Amino acid sequence: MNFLMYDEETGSWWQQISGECLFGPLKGRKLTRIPSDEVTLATWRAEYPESTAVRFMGGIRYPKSDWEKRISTLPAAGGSKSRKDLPPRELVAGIEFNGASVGFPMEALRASGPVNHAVGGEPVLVVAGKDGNSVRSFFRRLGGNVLIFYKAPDTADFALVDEATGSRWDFSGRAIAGPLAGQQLERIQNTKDFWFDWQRYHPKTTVYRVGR
Amino acid sequence: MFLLGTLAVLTAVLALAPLYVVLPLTEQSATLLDLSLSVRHVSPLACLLLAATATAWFAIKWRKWTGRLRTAGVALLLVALSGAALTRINIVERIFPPADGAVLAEIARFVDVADTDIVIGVKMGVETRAYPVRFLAHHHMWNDKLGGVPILPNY
Repeated sequence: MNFLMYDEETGSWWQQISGECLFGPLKGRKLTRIPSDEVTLATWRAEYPESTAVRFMGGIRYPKSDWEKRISTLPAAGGSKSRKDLPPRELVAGIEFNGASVGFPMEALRASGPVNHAVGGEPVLVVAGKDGNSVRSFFRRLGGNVLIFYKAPDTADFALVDEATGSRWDFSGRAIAGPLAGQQLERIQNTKDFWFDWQRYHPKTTVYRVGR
Repeated sequence: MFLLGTLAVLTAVLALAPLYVVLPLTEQSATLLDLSLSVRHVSPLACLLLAATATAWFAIKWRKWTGRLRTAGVALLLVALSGAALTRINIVERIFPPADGAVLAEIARFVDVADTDIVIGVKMGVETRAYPVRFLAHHHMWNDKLGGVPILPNY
């Protein structure tokens, strides 16, 4: 997944995952990461009906919808130095905060529902969407309180409830009913990545395990 | 002949070493990557000089070489010339075709990918845009501007 990017203006080479320039006149400089989402087209369309979408017209055959499943069997880079916490091609939602990093396996997020965890001492919520592939993360601190989230038991649709007030929350991190209605959780950036790649660039990462 | 051989080998090494940058599914070390990018940086000019020297040397010597010696000389010259030619082609760009020609669509009418396919969604100011991962995964990146800010969605 990780690659180098080349800019024609200065002839510098940039690392994708960090945005850092590794070679060339701008060596040592770093691109600013902007917030971004990895969600299904349906989710994005429902939340941002005024959005535009980019149609690529390369005139070539693009990978099919199941391409991610098909490349999951390919060998992975890393060699003997790689950590064996997870299979190399297991997808994780990685979060970095306060110099710490945690990989949340997508498999665990799908199985266990909302995950209440902490990264770098800060309480976070990591949650997969109803489709199982969209993933978002939020700070759990709201005002002076730290919230704990559960999957709403009374619906098959996506809904969370917080333990303290029983308010209902949607996938965008907004409280839609209950005492906290109208409140918005602050997002924290997660990066969906293969384990072999995530651990390579975050050597001190921990891995979230269900029940710990 | 020894000089011609050395020139041919050098040209080939300088032309091929940068391919280390694009070796798939291997872990490149930072030092070798740096070396390989340095070689790539100097190889177009260096290979041109080497190939020119090889051509000049061949022009001087070919009359003296006969039979198999001449065949070997031609072969080595060809290696040097192809090496020099190779450094003039952006191989990386041929392996990873840059996206050219992308247009915007309203999301309500966007049916190029399935509803269940993942998009990279970006919000800059009041503008929002979806970049389908299936397309980005092929081109890897797209230089764009959103909300007045130059951005580089990549995958």
